[in-house]
Amino acid sequence: MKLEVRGGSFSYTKGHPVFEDISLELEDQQFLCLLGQNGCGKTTLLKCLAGMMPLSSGKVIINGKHLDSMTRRETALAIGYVPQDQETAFPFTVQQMVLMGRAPSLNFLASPSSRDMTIAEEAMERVGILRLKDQRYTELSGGEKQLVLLGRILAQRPNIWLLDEPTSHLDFKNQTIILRLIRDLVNEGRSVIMTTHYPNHAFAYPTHVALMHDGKILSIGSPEDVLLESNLSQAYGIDICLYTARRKDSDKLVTFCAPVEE
Amino acid sequence: MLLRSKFFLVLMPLAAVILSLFIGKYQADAATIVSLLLSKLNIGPGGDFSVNLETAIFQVRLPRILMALLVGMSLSVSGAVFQGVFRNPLVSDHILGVSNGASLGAAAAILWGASIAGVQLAAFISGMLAVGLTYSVSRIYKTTSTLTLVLSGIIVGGFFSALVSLLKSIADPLDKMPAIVFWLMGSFAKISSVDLKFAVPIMVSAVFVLWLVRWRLNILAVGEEDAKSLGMNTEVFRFGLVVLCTLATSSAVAVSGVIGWVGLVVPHVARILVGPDHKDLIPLSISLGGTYMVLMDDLARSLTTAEVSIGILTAIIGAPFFAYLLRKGTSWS
Repeated sequence: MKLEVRGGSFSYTKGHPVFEDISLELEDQQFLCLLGQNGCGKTTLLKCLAGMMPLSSGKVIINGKHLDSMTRRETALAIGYVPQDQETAFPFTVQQMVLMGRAPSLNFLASPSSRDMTIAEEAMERVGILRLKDQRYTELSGGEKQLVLLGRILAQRPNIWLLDEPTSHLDFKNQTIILRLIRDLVNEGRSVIMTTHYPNHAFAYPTHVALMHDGKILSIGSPEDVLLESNLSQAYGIDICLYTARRKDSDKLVTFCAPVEE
Repeated sequence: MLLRSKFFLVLMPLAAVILSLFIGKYQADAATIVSLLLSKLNIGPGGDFSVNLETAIFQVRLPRILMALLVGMSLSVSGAVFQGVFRNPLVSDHILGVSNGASLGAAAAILWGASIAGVQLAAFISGMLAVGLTYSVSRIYKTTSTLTLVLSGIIVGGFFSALVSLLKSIADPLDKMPAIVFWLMGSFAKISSVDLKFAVPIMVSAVFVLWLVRWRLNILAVGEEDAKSLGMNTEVFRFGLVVLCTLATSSAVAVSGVIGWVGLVVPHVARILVGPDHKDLIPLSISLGGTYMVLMDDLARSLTTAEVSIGILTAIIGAPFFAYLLRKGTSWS
């Protein structure tokens, strides 16, 4: 599975593009982390890639096929998408939520079969929420909700996953759980594009990083090549320094960034 | 579980229908009615039954009961589907302005002296118009929150009901005006087999199709972007569902007038009983709605010596009951 954008632009009103002339490629087992300020166009780009909105110009190509020419169902079998704030008016159970991932694989009039139930159970098991199966989704914590949505994509079985800030509103532990899970799922064969507001997530987990600024990609490539002080400072519009630290009882070095304080 | 078993869901309304055959103005003892029913099914000893009795049971009671059953099913399933489509447990045909819209069309057609088919067509067109208006007014803020949808429903419903009042005031006070007024209050008293001929196929097919797509409704109900990312053509599906619900509701309005609260209360009770999964919710709403309406109509025709309008009864029972459900608040998060 390969996802490509060529010369992608999007604007709500003419002359004010949200993002402009964006090109990128995502291959199998790549984990691309999309960084940038609020309003730099990350979320809109992700929505266009997921087929939620059409590009104003340029094209999205999945395995050589234009996204525009694919039906929603075909798209859903290739691409899974989790929006930023998922809210639902009805208290569906965790199991019902995960089962909905089977929708694109089912006939329009069909209800999930016992095979779909098994797939959903496996998905819940994999992301570690099987014990929550009969609980109401609306009553879960933020981290648990995010796990349910990942379980749903797992049951949906697309190869390309687009995740919009899966770690927002989560505490330190839950952020780590989600990021590790995504990394492992990438190693098992999926490709993921994830947006985040925490640049430090980009040092440890993804295979690739893209920095966005003002609707354009400032830099894209491996984390070491992209996450430079100059790039980060430009992307966020504040002075940012990189630090390398050694863990107390080992030789392992970790790199992270932080804003410069006077 | 009992409430999910097909057998129970069929048995409950069936029992209500059979029970209702014994209730009515025409005096006949139960034993006679039982042997009449058995002889019609070719299993009884037979016997001589008066023509009056046969007419009362088969020409008057049975069509009326079946109509109540279908109208109850249509209003309840439409309410449940509307709530799912608009992702809002507080909407119903009434709140979306569909009933007021359909009333306007039907009242105009009655005033015009149109046939029953004409009344239905007019009810459908103005019902669609009303729900379309409600939805577009609510989109002023580009979202369909609970509040804006309910508010715009009040606006549109109020406007249409004013137009209905206008029609009443210009109608002939001796003939057309009472006809419109009584019809608006909602009643099954004047059901004839002619009504059944037009309304039944429409309501049966609408309810059947809504039943068929029951699991899919979950995907639409959970969220717009969720549904799209799960491969659903949300615009087409939503429009189709609104058309079906409006067809079912306006057909119900055309034959029996405005019977409020059913489309709101029945799906809520069903949701409390089996949860929000439409796979269970839709069949239970259909079954409960039919049963409820049949029993309400029994009350309407036996409570006092004169008929009580069923629309009055469903409101007197439905409104406080809904307040009670709101207090419990278990139907939604």
